[in-house]
Amino acid sequence: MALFMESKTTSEQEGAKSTPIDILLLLSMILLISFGILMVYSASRDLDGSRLMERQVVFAGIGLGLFLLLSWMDYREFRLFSPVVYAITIFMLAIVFAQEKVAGTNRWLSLPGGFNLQPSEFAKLSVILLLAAVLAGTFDDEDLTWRRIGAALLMLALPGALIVLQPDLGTALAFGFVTIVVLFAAGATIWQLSGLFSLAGLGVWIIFKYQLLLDYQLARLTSFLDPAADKLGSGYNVLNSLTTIGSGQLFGRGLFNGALTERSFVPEQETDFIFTAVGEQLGFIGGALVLFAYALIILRLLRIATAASDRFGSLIAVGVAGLFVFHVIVNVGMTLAVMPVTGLPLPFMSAGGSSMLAMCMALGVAHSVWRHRDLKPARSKS
Amino acid sequence: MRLEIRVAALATVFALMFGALVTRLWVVQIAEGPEHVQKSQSLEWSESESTAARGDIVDANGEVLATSVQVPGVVVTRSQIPSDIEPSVIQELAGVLARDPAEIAELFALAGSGSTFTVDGVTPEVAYFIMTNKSRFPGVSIRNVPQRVYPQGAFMAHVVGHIGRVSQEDLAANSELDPNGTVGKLGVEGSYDKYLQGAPGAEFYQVRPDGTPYGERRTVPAKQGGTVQMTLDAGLQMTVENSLAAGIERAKTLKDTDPQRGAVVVLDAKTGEIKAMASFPTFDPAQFVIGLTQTEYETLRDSQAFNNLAIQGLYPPGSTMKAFVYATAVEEGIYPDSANKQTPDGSLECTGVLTANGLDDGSQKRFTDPGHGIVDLHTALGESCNIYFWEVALAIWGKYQGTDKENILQRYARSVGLGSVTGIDLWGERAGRVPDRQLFEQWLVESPGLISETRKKGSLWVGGDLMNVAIGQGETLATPLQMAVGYAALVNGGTVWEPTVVDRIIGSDGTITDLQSGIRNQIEWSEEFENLIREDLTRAIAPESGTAYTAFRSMENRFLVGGKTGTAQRAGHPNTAWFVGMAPIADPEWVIAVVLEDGGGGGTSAAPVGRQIFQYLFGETVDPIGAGF
Repeated sequence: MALFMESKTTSEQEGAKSTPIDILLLLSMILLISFGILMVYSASRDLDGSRLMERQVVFAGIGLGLFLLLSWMDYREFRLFSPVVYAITIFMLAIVFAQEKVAGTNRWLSLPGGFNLQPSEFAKLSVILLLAAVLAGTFDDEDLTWRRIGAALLMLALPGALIVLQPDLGTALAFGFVTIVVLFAAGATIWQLSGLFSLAGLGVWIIFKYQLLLDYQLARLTSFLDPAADKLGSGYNVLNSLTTIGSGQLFGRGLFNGALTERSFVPEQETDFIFTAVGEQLGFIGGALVLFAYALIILRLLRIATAASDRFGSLIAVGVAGLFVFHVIVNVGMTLAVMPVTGLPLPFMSAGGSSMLAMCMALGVAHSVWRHRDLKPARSKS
Repeated sequence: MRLEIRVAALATVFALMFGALVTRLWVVQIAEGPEHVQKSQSLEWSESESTAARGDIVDANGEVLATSVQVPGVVVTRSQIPSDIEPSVIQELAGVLARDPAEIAELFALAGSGSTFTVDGVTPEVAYFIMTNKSRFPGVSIRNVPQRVYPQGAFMAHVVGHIGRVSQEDLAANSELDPNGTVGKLGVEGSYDKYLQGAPGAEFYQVRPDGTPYGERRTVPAKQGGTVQMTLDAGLQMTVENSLAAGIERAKTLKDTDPQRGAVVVLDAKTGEIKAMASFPTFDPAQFVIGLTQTEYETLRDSQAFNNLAIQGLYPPGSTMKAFVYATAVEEGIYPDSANKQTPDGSLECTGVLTANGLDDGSQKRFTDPGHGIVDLHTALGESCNIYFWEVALAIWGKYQGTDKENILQRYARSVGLGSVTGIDLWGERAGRVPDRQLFEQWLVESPGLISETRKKGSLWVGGDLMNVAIGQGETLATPLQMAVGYAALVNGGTVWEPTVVDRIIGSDGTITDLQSGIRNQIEWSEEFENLIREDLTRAIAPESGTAYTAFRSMENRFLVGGKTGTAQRAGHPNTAWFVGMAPIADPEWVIAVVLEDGGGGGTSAAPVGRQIFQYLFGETVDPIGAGF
């Protein structure tokens, strides 16, 4: 636990003036959430009426609230509480195994009131915070030591293992991607990164050698290579998804005028495959606009990373950026048959509370870094 | 500043990833877009065909002879049957429909994969069983399908015809046919199929991925087939069929007969319309709807029940040929050499023996026939004197032998329609034959087996052959319809009709298409012929010496009837009985041709059938078939 305590806290800076909100970030986020609500409605109204949309509106409201709350909190507090965050994350990831399996996995935590929490979504934010805390170290511009990398990996081992056991391959891969991005930003040398990649390669080799992946996981991962090979299996979604998006052409068939979306032609179209609703109804123009909004958010996050008052803040922003990149590229790529079907939601758009809240919180924490960028960093050590 | 550089590097990598994604989006939506649009259309809409109800066939007064009713039918949608369980579905279907599984499997194969087709109309019990055991019959549904009904059974069956499943030959003839539907195979059902078929409708409905209907439905209603109104009159037809059957029954009781088959045609001499047409034995077209066993089919086929003998039965016309010889004699001015005058009134004494010199090889030949005493052209026709007409043939032979007028008699026979199809609007009509030297020469080349060795050695075509033509024997063959058309041309001013059985077609939208009989030939009879023929045709009926006198003597209006009997000889068979009659004789409207195969004498067997029909047409009480004898 000492690892988390290494850097000095900046509690003495509390109460200092915070800078205004990042308008571009907020606008992009609100645009995507609004789009998402419309899309969820268009994709579910035939079978569910407005029920799913109403839930999504409620989640969006709570999410925005959490975003604002976290924006106004000083992100450096999380460093202090990182052991607590770690403990809660592990507890949540562990407790799902006490629940009955849903669709063959232990992903959900049933809450009173019919809500299902998906701890792995929140675990992504925890992992970013913990990685940042472990890797930030002091601001001595010191090189990233193997020791620190080892500590980070050690810290990741438990939640990572729990995620794989659920099993939730998508989230596990997201962990990996985010870790590499954050490590890189944290100053990992080419040797260190190569070492890590070799380690990862060895891991993959062991997985395939001893066939540790479940059949469906392997099928999903490979089906995107040739979706037509297995029409009613894992490729079915992807083929239908391609047809649905493709039929939107340049301008789309119009909102609520997507014949295929209307009748749930693509399974999971209100959740993982929500981008098909965008593609069919709003066409290339709509799809490109959505991707542009994500790109804007990611650009702002990277800007926040460079403007942060400390290394911890920088790494948080980079981590959140990496998380968004991974989700958007894998999710949209999946609907376009260039990425495996992994069940990663599209941030702010896929129906589902956990993803919405977790993503709002992640952006909230990063926004807090932006709002507190002018605080005297610990770096100066004055 | 290392952080800024690293972040910039990350930004670059991320930008490349997004760029790749947008490019991919462009490819899918813009480059491949049209392809996906096309595919999405086929995924969105499902099509379900509905069979058009076949149009009605009605008689001249609108009486229904064939119609369509809606019955529960077993409809198979192959696309909804997983291919691995299709064999078991076929087994189940065969079981419940009591049919051979191989037959059902063949229907599946014929229909093609993914198709929708009707297997059978079924009873409500079977329909209920299938509906309540859906799990055993995936992709099988019960829908109302049109079924052909013949409310009057075998009545008028040969003209009305029947339907059957579309065969490969049918498809080859008409590619627009629904391979899973039905098509007319015989009679009006066959020849007017394109009017009766109608156009199938379809229901297009949007479907969810699991095939359940969703959202919009577009229905193209099936267009019912048109109503075909025939020229035939059911009332007259009833009399015709009854008389034909009665005539055959009666002929069986006579000496030297074995009648099993017969046919009658009633033709309107003024319009070319068929007013009645019957062939015996007959069949019930409904049997083709419910299905015939192989044995049933073969029994009916061997009895020629499916043949419409009125247009397909070929018989030597016998003495009914003489009216055409009569026409040749008057028009060409050729009379027997032995007659005292070379006019229709020129008479000779028929002793029953004809001695002919130098017919072909210079030898003398003797022909015998019952003697008729003094006969001229008029009485020779009424009494059917062979000697007189043989002498006409001999006169032609003597005068034109070897010239291009040698076959002048045959030319007259052909000009009124013999030897070629009349062109009636029914399938399967046969042409018959009027033999001459040319035909024998043709046979010598094409089918030498038909020519006897004596002919091959001696003369191919001899005077005796022409004598045979003059009395409708030898190789002469004609259908009852041809005789009716030919006699009509003698008495209607020379019009040789291309007869029709259909008057008009009333489309399902109400449009009416009137059909007219065509005219195959228009003969300009001489005034002399016109003045004589009608009166001379009454001589077979009115005078006691007439060949049909006995058969007609109970009929009040017999003086208004003309006619000619025929008793044709066929090797190895009893005689074929003929009667051709027309009335009212002053300006004939009806021409009737009757044939009783192996029926015996024309006057005794066939004429009574004609008399009963004329009695009906004149509104008289129809006397029993044996009346007068």
